[in-house]
This record gives sequence, C-alpha cells and structure tokens, in this order.
Amino acid sequence: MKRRTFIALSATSPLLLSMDTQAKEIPKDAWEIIASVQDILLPKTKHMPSAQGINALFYLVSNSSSEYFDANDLELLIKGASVFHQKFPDFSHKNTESKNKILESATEDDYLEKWLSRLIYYTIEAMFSDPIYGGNTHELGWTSTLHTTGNPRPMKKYGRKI
Amino acid sequence: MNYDVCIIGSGAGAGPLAYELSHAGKKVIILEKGDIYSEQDFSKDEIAYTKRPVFTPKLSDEYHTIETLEDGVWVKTPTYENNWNFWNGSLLGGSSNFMSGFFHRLKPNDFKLKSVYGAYEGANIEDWPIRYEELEPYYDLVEKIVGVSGHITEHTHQEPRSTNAYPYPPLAEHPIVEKFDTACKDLNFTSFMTPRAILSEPKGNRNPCYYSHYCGSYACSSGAKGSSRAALIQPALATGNLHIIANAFVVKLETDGTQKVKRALYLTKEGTQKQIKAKLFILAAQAVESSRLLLNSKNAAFPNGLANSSGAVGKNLLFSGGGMGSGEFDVSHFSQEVLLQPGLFVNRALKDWYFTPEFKGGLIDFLFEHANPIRRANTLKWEDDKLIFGQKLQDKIFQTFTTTRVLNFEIFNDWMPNDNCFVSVDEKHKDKYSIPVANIRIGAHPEDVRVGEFLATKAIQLLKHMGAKNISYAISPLPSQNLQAGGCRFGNNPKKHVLNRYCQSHDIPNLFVTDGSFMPTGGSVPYTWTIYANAFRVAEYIKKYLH
Repeated sequence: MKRRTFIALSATSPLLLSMDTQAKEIPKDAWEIIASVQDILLPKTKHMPSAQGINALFYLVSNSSSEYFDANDLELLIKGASVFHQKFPDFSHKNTESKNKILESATEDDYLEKWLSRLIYYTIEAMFSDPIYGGNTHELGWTSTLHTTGNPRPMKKYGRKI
Repeated sequence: MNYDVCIIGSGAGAGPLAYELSHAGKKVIILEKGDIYSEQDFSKDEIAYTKRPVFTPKLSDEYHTIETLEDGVWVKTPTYENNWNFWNGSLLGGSSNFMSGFFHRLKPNDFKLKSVYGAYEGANIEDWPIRYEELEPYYDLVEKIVGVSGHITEHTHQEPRSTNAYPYPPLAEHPIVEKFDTACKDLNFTSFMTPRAILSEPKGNRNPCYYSHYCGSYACSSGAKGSSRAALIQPALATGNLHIIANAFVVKLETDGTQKVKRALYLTKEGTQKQIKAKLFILAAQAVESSRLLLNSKNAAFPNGLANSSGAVGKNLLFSGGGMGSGEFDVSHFSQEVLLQPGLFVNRALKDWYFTPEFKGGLIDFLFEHANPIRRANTLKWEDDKLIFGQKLQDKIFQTFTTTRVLNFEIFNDWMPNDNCFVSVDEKHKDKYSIPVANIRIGAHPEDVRVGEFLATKAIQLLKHMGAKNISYAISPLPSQNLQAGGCRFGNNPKKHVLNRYCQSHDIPNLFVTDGSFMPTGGSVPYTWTIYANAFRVAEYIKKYLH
C-alpha cells in the first residue's frame, strides 16, 4: 500500500481515527511495510481474494488497538516490519516476482520467519473472521472457500453483551 | 444478608447444588469470577470465543505457573510466557458453556481400579469410597434435568442403568457415520453411539439444537447444550432463592473460633474487597483454582491451608491421558455437497478396550474437526517445517476447504495420579491482585502414554478401513488443560483424604468441594457428567445436613 492510500484510509475510517494511544504510537511506515508484504503473502488468485481485497491492513490496524490484542504479537509485528525494512529497503519498489523471492529469502532468517508467520496469521484472521471486525469484505473469505459460518453471527465485537 | 449456602463458582460442580438447594427453599448465593451472559449474548464468533481472552482472564494479569520435567529438572514457566492457558471459562456456568458435551458415565470398575488391576508402580491409585451403584441414580437425574440425547449401544463394558433409554432421541448425524459403522462391522469393533448433553427436543425454556456448525468451544445460543448456566442456574434463579454476584473473585475463606468457615472474601473487578457470610460454603472453582483457594486461605488455626490437615490439598491432580489424531476425507469419498454439509454430528466412539484383561484401557471419541476457519487455514502455512505463502498457500487453503474434511479422534485414558502431579501456591508468583497464583506440576505416568498409544492403533485401524487419507496422531504426556480433577481426594481416612464420602471437609464441617477435585481416579471419559452427578448426590446430603 502506498503512503497516500494509507493516509486516505486513515482519513476516512472512523475506526482508525479512534485508535487508542497504543496504536497511534506505531509509525505509519510500519503499517505501510506490513501492507506491502501482506499483498504478497496472500495475493489474489483464481479462487481466493487478496489481502487487500479482504481489507487485511484495516483489520489489523483497527483490531491491534483492542485490549484483547496480544501485546507481544503487536510488538513483533511492528519491530519485525522495521527489521524487514532495514534488510530489504527496496522491497516495495520491486515487482511481484522479486517480492516473492525476497520473502522466500526472509524465511531463512528465524526472526523474520516468525514475523512473517504472525503476519500470515493475522491476514488469515482478516480473511475468515466475521466482517464485524473490519475484514472479510463481503464475506469473500467464507464464500470463496464454501465455508458455512455459524449462526448467530456476532452483533458486537469481542463477545460484548447485547 | 446471611445466606444458607455460598457457592464459589458456577460450573458443573456448582450448578446442581444451586438447583437443588434453591428448590429446597435455601437461600443460596453464587460468587462467580466472571460475568453473567444469556443465550442472546452468545454468537459463533471465532475471534471472541477461541482467539482472544474474552471469557478467560488475560494471562498477563492472572496466570499460572507450570512445572514440566526437562532433562531431569523441574522447570517452572509462567503461562504468560508459554501461552498455555489453564483458565477454561470465567463466566456464569464456567467451562460447561464451552464443552462439546460428550457424555459418558464411569463404569463400576472405575470406582475400584486398585482392587481390579492392583497397584501401578509410581502411581497413587485408590478405590473410591463410593460405588457406581450409589452414583447411578444421579447419572440418571442428570440425563433428565440437564438433558442427554442419544441411543443406548449395548457393548461389552456397558454399565448398569436404571432406565433403558436416554430421555432425548439422538441428534442428526452426518452420512460419514455409515462408513464408520460399516468399518466397525468389518473389523468386529462395536460402533458406540456417543450420548450428548445436547437437547434434540425442546425442554422448558431451552430450545433444541439447531445444528449451528460451531459447537465445541462455543457457548450455545439456543440453550440446547446442557451447560450449568442454561440447565441448572437459570431454573434455580426462577425460584427466587438464588442470588448471583458476578465478577467476584474469591481470594480467601476465613474461619472463626469454632473452626468453621465464616465468610468468603472476594475482590470486585475493580479490586475492592468485599465479603459474604453463610452457614455453609461450597467450593467449585475447578480443580486447580479450588486447591489454590484452600491453600491461600491458610491462617493460624490452619497453617497449611484450609481442609489440609492431611497435607493432601492439591495432591494427586488429574488430567486425562491420551491424545488425538485425524484422518482426511475428500470428494472421492462423498459428493462435495455431502462432504461439506454443515452442522451434523458424528457421535461415534469406540469403547471395546475400555477395560482389557491386563490393563485399564480407555475411550476413543470421533468427531469432525471444529469448523473454525481461522485455525484451520493457519495450520496450512507450514509444509515440512517451512513457511509457505503466496499462490501456494492460497491454493492450499482453497483446495483444503472446498474438497476435504477431517475426522478427528480424541483418546481418553486414565491419568495415573502420582507424586509429581499437583497444585501448590508460590509466594513469588502473584497475580495482578497480589494473590499467589497456582503452580501446577505436570508429571505424567508412563502408563498414560502406553495406553494412549495402544488405543491410537485401534483408531488408526478404523480410519484406514474407512478409507481416510493423511492419517496421523499424537499421544503426549502433556495434558489438555480443560480436563481437570483431583487435588482434594475424598475418602474415609481424615489423615489421608481432604474430603469425606460426601465431599465435606474432614476438618471443617461447613465446607464442601464439589467440582472434580474429589476424584481419586478420573476414569477414561470426560469428567463433566460425573461431576454433575456427584454434585447432585452431595446436594441430597447437604439438604439433610442443613435440615
């Protein structure tokens, strides 16, 4: 995701505007790096939506400010983005094939592999969680995989009482 | 107000007491650590129910320490470091809200394992002070009050029953059971139809199962699942004799000069200390936390903790031995429509080796892998210990979700009680309220793994005969944290046992412990039905005691 896209997202999203201090302290660069990596981790395919298509970055940014979000995971995601950027500063300017090769080589590093693994996890969360959390746009994650979700669906996030 | 009875906890060990004593006109109060929810609040939200600490405390705030044996040394690790969460449900009804409801009774020989099989070296097996016949009427009561659905399967180890049918007919099943039944017939195994604590028909204010597709790990939105909350506490509230204080974390039981418990001290969510007085106290906070509270309640008269003159509080903690495995079915076995048909149950088990002539065996329950798509997709990102991503991962997710379904099996065999499986408290490790946390030493007896491996061979044999693909299993000496029992054994010897045969403290007559803590051995089944039945039995005694 380009910087201007992120700024536009921030400006239009009430959820992003209401992020708490924890999330606000995260440098925007980190989210941009994460967004560009997410697009390679889960790209659009013949059958599956892309990370961007299911609003994966928005999902992560907005939910990372929740009291229930794992603080260690958030730290890993942000620090990992910084480490990745230091090691591969030109990543976002590369073509898709090169980006794939870079991520392939990143998995050889234990720390970056752990970071990528967590990033895949939260991108998967965005794909298959209820759209109430901000991802899984138009239920694309579920419909693409013929997944029948359970009912009733949540009316509030994080199990809050009706 | 001075209550007749104060119950600490509201899960399976508490619900029957609240139900029976409130119906008997006693003034009952429940102190529940978590919040109060109703069916309307529940949903099938994978994030809230399985991925975030919404219904359990945050481990950074409240944790346990776990001791495991590593290279011959016991190593203690706080659970905020290893994320091994031993909280199983802090809300009204406790973990019974999230159970799958596989309901199996213990069998007569489970009550006298030592007499039947003799002593196992390194294991502290003891016969129970009661026999199956004493508990049978209460198993029957649970079938009717909590609600059990199913069909009785005659088999070698069938326990005696006072009725010849479950009160509710079986739940609808997926066509995979035809393959299961055929394979059993071919292999000369008995296809056992698993009873479930899930209503197939309406019962009072509770609606029947609507096959939501998301069952185990989720609270039930129809009230069909026989949680303590839906089946027992809600009717108890209707008597007008039950009061519940939510978000009340009991941190100490205080005794008076007569060596009875006088009051329970609890903390509100904000950390304010309050107290409740009652004539009688019933502790049912799940095995680990019940032992923790007794040990943390030590005072001048009870320097080793309440009810602990025997020194046995926390000792002989039980989990369940065994492990789990799986086999994959795909569109070569069923049409895609049938394969992916949501909601329907498998409800099959193998019990042919519950007892063997040489050793105590166990139970194998079969069930579809839980639907949870986040968990399922996330497991696909590793191949040969290497992270995969991109088109390869996306294709794998699509293929797996649209063309396969996994049949799991879960093995339950006796967890051999032993000197290295216990609960203690450690003044060095305290939660956010400065209360010493429970330390859980997890030492498994070699028999646990040996029996698990034996049973796994039978499950694998069956899956192969069914034509399953990618069959695998894992038997581990490390337990599942949601099956907890032991720690406050009942028995007739006050020098050895914490509780008498009615789960009443030998030391403190107005203190009872009614969760799974009382069990000397746990049997080879999930504990919930037995905890329910025993709590009904104890309720009968308490009614007479209070009278």
